[in-house]
Amino acid sequence: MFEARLTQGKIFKQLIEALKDLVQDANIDCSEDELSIQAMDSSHVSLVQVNLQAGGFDHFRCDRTISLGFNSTNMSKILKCAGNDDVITLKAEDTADALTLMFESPGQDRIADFELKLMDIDAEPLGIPDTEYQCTIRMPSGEFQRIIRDLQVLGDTCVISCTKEGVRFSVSGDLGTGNVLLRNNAAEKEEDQVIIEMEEPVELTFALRYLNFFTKATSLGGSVILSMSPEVPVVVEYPIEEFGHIKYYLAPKIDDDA
Amino acid sequence: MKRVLSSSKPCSDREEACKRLEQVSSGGRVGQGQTGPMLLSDIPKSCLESKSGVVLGIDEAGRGPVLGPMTYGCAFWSRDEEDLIPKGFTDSKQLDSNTRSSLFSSIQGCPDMGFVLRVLHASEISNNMLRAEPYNLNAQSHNAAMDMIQAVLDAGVKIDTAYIDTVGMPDAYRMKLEREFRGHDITFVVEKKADANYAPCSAASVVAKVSRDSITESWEFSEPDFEPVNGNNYGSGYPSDPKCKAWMEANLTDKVFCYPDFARFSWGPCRQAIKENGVKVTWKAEEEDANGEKEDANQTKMNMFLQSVGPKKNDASQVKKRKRVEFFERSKLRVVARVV
Repeated sequence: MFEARLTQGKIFKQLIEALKDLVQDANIDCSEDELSIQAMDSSHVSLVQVNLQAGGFDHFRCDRTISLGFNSTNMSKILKCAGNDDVITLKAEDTADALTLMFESPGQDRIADFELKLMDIDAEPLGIPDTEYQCTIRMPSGEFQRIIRDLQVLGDTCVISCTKEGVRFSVSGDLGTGNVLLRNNAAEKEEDQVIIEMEEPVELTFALRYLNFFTKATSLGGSVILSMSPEVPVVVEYPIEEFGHIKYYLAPKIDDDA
Repeated sequence: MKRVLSSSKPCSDREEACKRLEQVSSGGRVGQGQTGPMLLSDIPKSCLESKSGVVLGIDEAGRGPVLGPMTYGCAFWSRDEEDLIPKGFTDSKQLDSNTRSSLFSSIQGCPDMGFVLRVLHASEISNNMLRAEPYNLNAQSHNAAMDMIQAVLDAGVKIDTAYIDTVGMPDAYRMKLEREFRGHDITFVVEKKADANYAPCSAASVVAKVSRDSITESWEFSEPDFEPVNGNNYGSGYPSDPKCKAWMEANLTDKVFCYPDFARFSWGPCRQAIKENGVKVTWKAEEEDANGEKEDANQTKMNMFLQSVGPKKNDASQVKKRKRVEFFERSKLRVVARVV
């Protein structure tokens, strides 16, 4: 038996919105102490990883680990039926072929429940190796979203380079070029700060299309953390306060002829 | 991306190995269909009965050129017989061609050293890179190396350590190899410039480089009506070589097909020349694929960076593939789940 109740149902809605454009089918893996999702997009260029700690739910019960395979578009359709202030409860029997989603309005005067059919997803268990990153950049998530949106006007490939000077996002395309440089900024409000920690300068190239998908998670938190090292995927992490995170990994573009 | 060669039988003795090597490295295209040949020498007895383990090295030659094949060389021997292995290996690029040739002869003449040669013809490389779903050069290189290791394993040699000159990121490549050959207990050393630091790699680089030079120099064009202007005077085949440049300019005689299949059509200089001097062709279907995004050969995949944690599903050794009718194999006809 699995049961999880979340007063801030909005978070779950936003999470599914944040991954539905990237992955079609994924498993929700539930264990005694957490709920997690890990899936790659269909072209295997990016990976999304969600982690919600049991302690962040109002009630969390999972007798034995289970995997609930779902289609993200269908899940999203059902979650559209939940109000932003609703309490969301997820329920599944151990051998269930459906996931029950219950939406309760704040005044408890409206209770809706839906069943989403589950599916078997053959996911190869892949682990993400631990990496010591050379650069980590923490910035307001809205700022990151804006940069990605702006750069997409000019091209489809973006170079992110982190140096002593700051972090630079560059694009070049048929109509011209664009650069956005962010410097360390110790603003008063933590959410407005830009904090760059760097061991060695790093420069990596990425497809903007995917970075744009990642910014769908902007509403989940005020900050985003980018972690980079040479020749490995960038991690774009949106921490969800006192609850967990959604992390996106994006494989870099590497010039074959170099 | 799937591997092209599942196995290759070793030669019965050194004489046969040298003869086949001679065949492979002269006079145009050898090999079935699009895939170039792989040659595995006879297996030295000392490698089959090795007490202190077999070491193996892999290196490539001709990655950058716009003309001619890329070759992959592999050399292996038992640590017991280290004394009998010819001395003097260092990075084959630093050796002059005479020294290399004499080292190559000494490899062939050394009964305790086994070798493998895999030739990826220009046509194989460019066909793969220009497929609807590009199969990039790094992946082709990785698979060529894995095919060679597999062939040596299949011949009954227990490999202790494999030294490999890296292609792409050393760590990711090493992890890929460890994943592929899990259970064989091979130590993989994957480094930049491994050919300069490890004797097996260095020997492998001699095999690769000498063969590549020989194939390139003695190339016989398979196109019946093609008579090269300037003969085979294309130098090293590197785009930066003035001889190669001049040859490329002089030989764009066919305005539709542009170059013989000795050229790598997927290379920048080749594409540029075709665009400028060939007949302009518009491919309607090429403009956009289903996602409205063109595949990018430089885009790496996440799989390269991940570690397999659970048991591998569909272990290749357990799934026996039904042999296909040759016609289908050669024409690359296969069942597809979706229509592209």
